[in-house]
Amino acid sequence: MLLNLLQNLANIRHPLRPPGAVSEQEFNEKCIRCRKCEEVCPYDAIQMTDFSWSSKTGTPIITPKKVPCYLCDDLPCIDVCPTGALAPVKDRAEIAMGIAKIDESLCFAYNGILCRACYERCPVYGEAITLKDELYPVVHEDKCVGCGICESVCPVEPIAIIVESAHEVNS
Amino acid sequence: MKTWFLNHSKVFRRTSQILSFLFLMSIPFLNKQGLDWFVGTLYSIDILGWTIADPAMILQMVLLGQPLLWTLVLAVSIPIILALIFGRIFCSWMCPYNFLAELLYKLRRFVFPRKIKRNKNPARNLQWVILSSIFLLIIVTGVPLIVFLSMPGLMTAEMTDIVFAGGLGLELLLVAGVLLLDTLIFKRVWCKYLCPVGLTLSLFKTPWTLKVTSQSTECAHCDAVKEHTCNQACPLDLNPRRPKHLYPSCYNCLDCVNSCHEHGGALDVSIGWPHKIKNTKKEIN
Repeated sequence: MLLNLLQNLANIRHPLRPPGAVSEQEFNEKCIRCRKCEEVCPYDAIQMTDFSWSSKTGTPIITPKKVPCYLCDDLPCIDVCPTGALAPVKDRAEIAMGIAKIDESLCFAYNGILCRACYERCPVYGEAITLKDELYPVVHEDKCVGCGICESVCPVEPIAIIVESAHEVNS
Repeated sequence: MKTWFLNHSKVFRRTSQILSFLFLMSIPFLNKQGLDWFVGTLYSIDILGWTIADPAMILQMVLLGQPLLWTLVLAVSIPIILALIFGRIFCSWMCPYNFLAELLYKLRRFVFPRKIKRNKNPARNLQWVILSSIFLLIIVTGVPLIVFLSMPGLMTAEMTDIVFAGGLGLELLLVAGVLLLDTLIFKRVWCKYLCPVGLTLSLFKTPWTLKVTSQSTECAHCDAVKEHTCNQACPLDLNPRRPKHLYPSCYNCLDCVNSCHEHGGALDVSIGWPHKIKNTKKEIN
């Protein structure tokens, strides 16, 4: 049936949701597409999915390559969400939007060029990304919040460190 | 006071429509400047910190299996109280889709004047069949259909996306398609039969809710010229002289009562406990 096809189409890709997002299935039922998170995001990091996302059209998505989540102190996106699709978090370390993955074949550091861009800019400094032998960045999945700042500062083309959404990691 | 209001209701309504249209469309621009007094769209909107949500969207959320939080009950309380007292006035006084559709339909009527002198009211209960099928489809498939069927929601949301993402969404094509079909091909079927937002508000109509009443004995003036001014005034092509089949399609714009006041005054509004009117002759169809 056409509507089931729409549902399947929507589940092919895994959107990186804003901080505090509940599990993907629950999120799509709770999110009422009101755009408030998009409107209050001070960095315009939150944008809305387009029609190609079929039944998930109009839900918030973060594209770190454009603008990552800078993890505001007050997290206005969570504050403004009326339905609890973005649920309150106790502190920033609790956020689990996704997990950064390093492609060592692309990463400068692993290929003999000195680079610490992701390590230095990581907001969970010294915990989510550490340097092995003072040289090679390593992501610690239990600490990484998935904000995507590392992805946005990575100088390699194509980007060597990419955030996978929590939804993708869990599926 | 009441007569004065009804004599001027059309001016008030147009003003309200224009102001709410401009207000809704300016919200994303204000947000872009960092002003967050008003946030949101017609799916859900924050006005000076008070959250208001579309009852149809919240009903959908509950039908999809999500809990109804007390904050959401508060959020739908204002639309529901408005609907309990005044009926679907959101549609006629605020909805940006209806505003555009009315203007476009007026334009159509201006270019191609109507030949029919008397409007027919919708078949009874058809709207409820349509509304329940929509919600049934949502439960069965899990697709949040109201998102795509809420024209006011889509219009305001697209405005936000244009301001923040800079791109035109395909949803606008959906709105434009519905708008053009609704006004240029069909005769306002969207607001009368299909719109789940308006019909959900209609669920809260009670016998006490504001409604149009008619006393056909006073229709002599219009009977003489064989053209009832209320039928001409109705933006939805309804027949206010037969109030029994008027609802839930009628959205209480009061244009018919407004126009009738110049021609005999057979139409009136009633709110509160329906009291017997002095002259209870049978209505003429």
